[in-house]
Amino acid sequence: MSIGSFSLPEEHDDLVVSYDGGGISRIQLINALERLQGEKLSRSEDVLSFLVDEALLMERAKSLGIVESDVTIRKALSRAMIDKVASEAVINDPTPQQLEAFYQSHLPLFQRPDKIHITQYFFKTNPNTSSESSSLQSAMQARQKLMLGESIEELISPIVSALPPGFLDQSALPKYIGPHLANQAQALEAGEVSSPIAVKQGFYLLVCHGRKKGSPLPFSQVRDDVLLEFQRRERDAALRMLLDDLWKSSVINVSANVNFSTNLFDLRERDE
Amino acid sequence: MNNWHVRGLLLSVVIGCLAGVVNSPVLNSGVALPSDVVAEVNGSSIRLVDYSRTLDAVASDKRTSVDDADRRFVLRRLIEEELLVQEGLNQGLLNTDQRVRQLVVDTMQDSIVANLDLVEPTGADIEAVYQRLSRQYSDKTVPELASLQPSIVSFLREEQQGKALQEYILWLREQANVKYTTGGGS
Repeated sequence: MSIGSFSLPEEHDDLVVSYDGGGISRIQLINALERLQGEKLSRSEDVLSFLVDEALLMERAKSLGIVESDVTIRKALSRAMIDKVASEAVINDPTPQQLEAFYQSHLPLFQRPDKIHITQYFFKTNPNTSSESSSLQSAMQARQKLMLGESIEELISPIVSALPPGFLDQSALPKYIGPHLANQAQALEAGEVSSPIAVKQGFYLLVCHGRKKGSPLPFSQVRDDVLLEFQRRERDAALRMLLDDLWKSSVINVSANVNFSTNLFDLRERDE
Repeated sequence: MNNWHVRGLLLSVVIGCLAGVVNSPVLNSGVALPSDVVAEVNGSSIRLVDYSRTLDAVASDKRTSVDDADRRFVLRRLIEEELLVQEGLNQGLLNTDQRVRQLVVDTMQDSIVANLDLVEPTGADIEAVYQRLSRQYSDKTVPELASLQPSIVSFLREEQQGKALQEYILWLREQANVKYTTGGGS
């Protein structure tokens, strides 16, 4: 029930305190007594007084527009909404049959990860000369040497990145070298050296020393992970559905000043 | 934790929402809006400054410069955050979610205190508190006033803030015509 912009609790017939536009119900008081048990407020009078003050500050914050405008509150509200949808989405555990079927249809998710062994070299462009040709030339020369299996350390002094030595999970590669270089690394065969990859301050060379193919893990070993993934997808699907409905039921105007080179909502441009 | 990771769940659903966007009968692009507004969601503005700030955060996460896909992503994310905020308010999360409720109350209290014109404690005020402390610890060695002064000044400032907060709440109570129906309360 609401009066103007204020809302009355559902149990308003059982109010222990009333104020203009709202009130505190007996149920709210009991809940607060349980919640605040063990804290400074022990007497019901004190808890009631606390609830009234809290409610009045809430109403004041709403009337001043703080709820809608405060960045932290907005983040908390959207987070709470996501949590609510997520908790409602995962009420019942899946049956063992459902879970095993999910495992079978998503085998690549439950396997020892593909691994890759990469070395990364960086050839920095001298900022004083603002010429890329020298660093590009160095990268090209180094590439030739590397392809012939020769050492490049005697010729030039490239900066080697701090990638951990040995094989890495392929999925972890973007964390170390960024998504752009990780994509380039994914395309390399074992023993292959990349072409120089241009970035803002110079060029990278990537060397793939080897790859190890992942293999499926048995269901019994990954059952907990399968359950977590199953539930995660349930939550995501519920949130997607909610957002989908919100998009459809909302009026959204995008400014003419937002000028992208392609249609803002062009499905063909979706970011995979 | 990185902000982008915190919002990972949102991020992961953005793509799926595109279908909804395309089907939306009330999505208008190229609308004449104020220059400091990039979009409106059910009448609520998404400010250019927030869009730019979020885009800058994306740029700093990337090694390459932002492109149109990033701009679309940021705008969609801000629109979806606004949709979730509005839905949260519609579903009464301000009343039912204790964390949100506490945050609003804390923010309101902070804003009351932040707008105060605090009176700097005088030497006499500080001395009076020190004397009170000295009496409490009469059987022990009390530290010199100079070493306690910063703590006493903080205490006196907090005391002023507490009083102001109490006065503000009393004013709210008067305005709201608070009535106890079962006795008790203050």
